[in-house]
Amino acid sequence: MVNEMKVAFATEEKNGLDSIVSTKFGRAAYFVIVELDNDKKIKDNYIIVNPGGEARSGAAIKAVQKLLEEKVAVVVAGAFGPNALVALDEMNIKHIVLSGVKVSEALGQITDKL
Amino acid sequence: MMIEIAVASGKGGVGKSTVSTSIAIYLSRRKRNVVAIDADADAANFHLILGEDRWDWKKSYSDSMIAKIIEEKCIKCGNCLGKCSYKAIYIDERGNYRINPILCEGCLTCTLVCPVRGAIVREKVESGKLYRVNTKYGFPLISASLNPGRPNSGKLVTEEKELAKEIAEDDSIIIIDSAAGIGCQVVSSLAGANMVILVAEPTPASFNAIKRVHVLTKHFMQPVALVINKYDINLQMSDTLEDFAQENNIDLLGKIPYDESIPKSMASRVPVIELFPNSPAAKALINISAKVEYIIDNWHEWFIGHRPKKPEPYKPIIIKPMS
Amino acid sequence: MIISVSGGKGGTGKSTVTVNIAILLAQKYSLVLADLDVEDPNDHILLSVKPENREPINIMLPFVDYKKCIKCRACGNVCDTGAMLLSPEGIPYVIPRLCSGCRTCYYVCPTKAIEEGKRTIGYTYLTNVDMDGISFKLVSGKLIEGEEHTPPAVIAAKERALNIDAEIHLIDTSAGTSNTVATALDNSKIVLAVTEPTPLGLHDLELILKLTSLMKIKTFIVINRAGIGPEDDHVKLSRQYRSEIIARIPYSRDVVESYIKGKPIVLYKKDSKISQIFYDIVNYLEEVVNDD
Repeated sequence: MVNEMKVAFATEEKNGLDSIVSTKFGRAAYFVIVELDNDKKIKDNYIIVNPGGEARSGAAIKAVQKLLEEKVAVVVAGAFGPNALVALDEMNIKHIVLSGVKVSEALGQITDKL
Repeated sequence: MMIEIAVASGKGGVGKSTVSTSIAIYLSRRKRNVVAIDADADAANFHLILGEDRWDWKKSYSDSMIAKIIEEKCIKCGNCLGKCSYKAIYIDERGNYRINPILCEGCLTCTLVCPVRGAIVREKVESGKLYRVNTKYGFPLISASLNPGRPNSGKLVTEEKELAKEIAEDDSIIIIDSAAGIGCQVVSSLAGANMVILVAEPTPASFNAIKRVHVLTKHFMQPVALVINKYDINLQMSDTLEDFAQENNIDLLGKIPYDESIPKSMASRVPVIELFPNSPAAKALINISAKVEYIIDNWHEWFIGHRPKKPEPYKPIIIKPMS
Repeated sequence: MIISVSGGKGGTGKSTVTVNIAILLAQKYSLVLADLDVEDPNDHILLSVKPENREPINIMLPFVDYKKCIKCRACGNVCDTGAMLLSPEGIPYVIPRLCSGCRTCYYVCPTKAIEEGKRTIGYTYLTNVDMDGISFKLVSGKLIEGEEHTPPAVIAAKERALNIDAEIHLIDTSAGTSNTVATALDNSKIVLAVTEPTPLGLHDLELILKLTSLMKIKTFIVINRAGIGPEDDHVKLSRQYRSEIIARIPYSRDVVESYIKGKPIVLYKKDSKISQIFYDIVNYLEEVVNDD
């Protein structure tokens, strides 16, 4: 079970793996969480609401807190602000900058970085 | 492709809105699809420069909470009085404990230290309003205002951007007149922008302000351009700004001379490139706008040429347990 | 007696008006001038004095005693601003940039593992002003460059000013109507709203009048740079909010010269028309104050 991992994709829509990856992280509306097996194939996927979406300030912190709860190892979004970076780095969650394509396509593009 | 251009200055009063309105009008005249966002809710003046005095659409916006003391339940124990970090709690003429809504920041302290359950509650309060108007210059403008006493926030800017994206088309050019300062409302203004145009005047305060915004653009690895406004009020300082641009691979779009046409056109509620098109300032602004159009039409090349080569993330200090 | 001078738009001339009124009032009364434009104070520049007696403005910063922390996660859960990040094990990490010093974490911690640390966000200064035989004290507040949270700085500078015994405390607020200005205006007896006859000036005048009406503070209007545009709408607002226009200061080269000379116009050119207008404003204020 060592190489299984969860990857989160920031998105503004609820279209599962067809959701477009958002340019935002901290205030993105949702995260599509993809569970990968040892061979980096999709085992399961689900969507969660990003608590950072409603936050007045420190939205990225709330988002990171949620990702920690979900035990996410990697997060993908179009941009990560200063607060996002410091929190992700401290909590050892890897971040990848990418947006504008569907989650399924994004996953294909980043598999070698996982 | 949709292009998002953030216009920022780090401090108010240097001509940021004059530049952003001019670029928006110019591109719209050139038949581009433009969507403008005024993210400077503390001092929203994009619509004033355009002479718009009505909105097509407005919506209440809320992102803050305020604490309130329920008079009937309050036992006047005084526990909350000294503990509010913002000194927002006071006793009124009738001896009742009250919370000053202007000073209250909506944290949980008073509710926590109050011994009576339900004597202090938090409620959502309107922070301001969002607006939209189809301007007389052929493009829509999204704007916002803050209620007295309410601070600007990154969330408000994000909401404005969401509204803009809803009405934008695939080839729209989104122009964001950024919030002032360098706090979260500015980070939200810059995040996601394809390019940033810095506007500075030749003063030490303005130079310091754009240097701080520049740190954020390096964080987001955005290509940056510069406009120097009122350059001739201090030629030496203006040269310093030019040197800074050159050292940092920032594309100098142009320099605007001090010109009375600008305050005159503001007083008349007509943009300077409309009202005094042959004035020195208007000519400079039109040149700058034409350069922006050129950048958009040659995007890939310009982007590669001006994007920072290596990431320089800005990470705020974090205090953690020593391992 | 606390009198505040405010003006929605930056650059309207609020500080010039404040400084000149301060000098005239200081001829008769003991006075403290408080420059609460904490992002960019400039009264000391107009008065050609160097700020002295620097004291830090601190806000509370939580300091976690990790030996006492039982990882209950309460602090992270109550933090509204995201300043408290919890590791998967429940260990709190503090991000000072996001902390507004509300102390909720301090009060919620069941084992008192959070201590009241502090961090400096700015400074207050207390400077003696002596010009042409007129003396008064200037208190200024300034945020450290990059700091955004203005209310604690405004409160600290205001407190330092109010702690000095004086017949009049004259407050120069910042531009805008955000919480920075509201905090500065709180408790004022009178507000002078400085505006100019332009659409931006009008727009900001309305915001200030709304704010002072909400705060129930008597407001008078001063139109600066009178003559550069029409005033009809300003007059309408004045009626709507029952705030009298008590002075019109025309644009004058004299004022510009006084900037360059570093001496306020009521000292630099006592007999000028502008100086006379400032005298009239002060006389009017005295009447209003004595009537109460």
